[in-house]
Amino acid sequence: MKKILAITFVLVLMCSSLASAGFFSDSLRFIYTGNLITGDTVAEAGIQEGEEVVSEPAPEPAPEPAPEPEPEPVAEEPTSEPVTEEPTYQDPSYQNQPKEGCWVGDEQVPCPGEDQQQYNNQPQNNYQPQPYQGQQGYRAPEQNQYKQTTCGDGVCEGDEKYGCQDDCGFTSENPMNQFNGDYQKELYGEGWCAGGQCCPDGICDDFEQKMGACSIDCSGTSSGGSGQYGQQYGAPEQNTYVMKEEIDATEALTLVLKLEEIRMRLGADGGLYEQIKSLNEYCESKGTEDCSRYENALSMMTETSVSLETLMSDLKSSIEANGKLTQEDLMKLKNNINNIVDNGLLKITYALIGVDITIETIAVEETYVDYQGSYDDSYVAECGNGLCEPDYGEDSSNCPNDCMGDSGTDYLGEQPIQEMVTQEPIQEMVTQEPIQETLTEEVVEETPTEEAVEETPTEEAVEEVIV
Amino acid sequence: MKKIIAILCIFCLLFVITGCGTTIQNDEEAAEEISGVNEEISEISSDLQEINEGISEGSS
Repeated sequence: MKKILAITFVLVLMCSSLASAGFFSDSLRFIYTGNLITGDTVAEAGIQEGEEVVSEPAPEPAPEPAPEPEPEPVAEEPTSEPVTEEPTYQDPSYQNQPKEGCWVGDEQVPCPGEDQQQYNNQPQNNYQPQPYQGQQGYRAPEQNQYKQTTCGDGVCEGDEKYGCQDDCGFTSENPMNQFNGDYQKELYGEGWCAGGQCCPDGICDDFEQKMGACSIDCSGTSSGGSGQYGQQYGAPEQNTYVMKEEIDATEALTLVLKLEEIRMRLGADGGLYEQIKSLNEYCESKGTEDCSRYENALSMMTETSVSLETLMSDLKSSIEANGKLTQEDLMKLKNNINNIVDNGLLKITYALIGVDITIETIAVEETYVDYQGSYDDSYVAECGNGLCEPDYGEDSSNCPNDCMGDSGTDYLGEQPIQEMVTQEPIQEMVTQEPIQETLTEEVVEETPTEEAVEETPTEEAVEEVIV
Repeated sequence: MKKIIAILCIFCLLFVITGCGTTIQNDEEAAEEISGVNEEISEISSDLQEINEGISEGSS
């Protein structure tokens, strides 16, 4: 019996030793990952990260052109010979060019009235990140197969639409050429596309908005039907918000619960905190680099969590007091969430990469009109001043000139608060000093009641009455 | 004697479990952890932005 116990004890000790050496953490990883292949196995097999084992990559990029719309056959010209069967033409850059518009044999001609629609219907997923083969890579096609063209002669003809920006691009005389030129830039990464703003990139840039050329980026608007240019015309509305007038208790409590969830995820018991803590421990165990960045990130997480808690407390107080969230509360919530994202989460990210930074608070311009704070018991509403003031006894019956048959039409307090959030570029200053400001101070901010009250026409009317 | 051995076994078992836990062992795991941290921060930012959008109505 003793021998068995001794053997068991020795076995347990061996297991403990192996575990402390990290053996089981690698070998038993399949228990929770479901993957028997470990990083070591992959390394031993000589497989690089991102490389697939089964499928052999092609030695060269496939010369076949991308899926393209079938050109419409023209009755006058035989179209029996496909382009890929040309016996002598070997320029792959030309073969990869997209085919749009109308084709007469091997020559593309613009289709009046159809080209714009065609661009709207252009499947944007055909974008392939191939190098630009335009001006530099363009070679005039051979005379026997293609019409001889000269780039730079001022005439946009034949295949110059694909490669000759001098003739086909940005000519004010021919908007169609300009369109083609822009489209080339969009496809092959020239001009503004060189910076990555090509379709689809999630950015509705000027060209895409102007031409309606990328429905994926621009509002997700389907570009089918009879849509022409200008379907997505209009001023960008990204940073313009109209605050809700109020939120009832049910919705407000849902908001608070969401904030609570986020606070728990950011808190010391959350997974994110544990992950960064593990990174900190690993960094300290290595002992080769400065691990203060992880500590900074952890303290920033704590501060962010505290600020969220403060925000939640304020919201709960407002809900308890009013049974709802007012515009003022919502404005405050919005500003504070922006602060938490910009000054909290962003700082955590910066701290993780080891940068001590001071981020300037994003300027939030708001035109907040606090009508509730402008009440004055001694004020008597003046009929005919253009203001409908039902809180001072004015309505459509006694003052139709101001209220125009609808008691709430011109009421200032009924106007939605329009907040123009100017998201200026974040200007961060890399400093050597550690981050000293706390988010708690930013969250507890004053409501813009005093300044807004002074700007309301109601107050001006009060002054007039006094004078 | 048996009790002592049983307690020792339990301690050893806990030690084994701890060894198999989330402790980062190498740079590869650290990289995965950093990636996870990044994703988590992005998710939290998205959630906060959703809340922001929820309390405001898009202008038309």
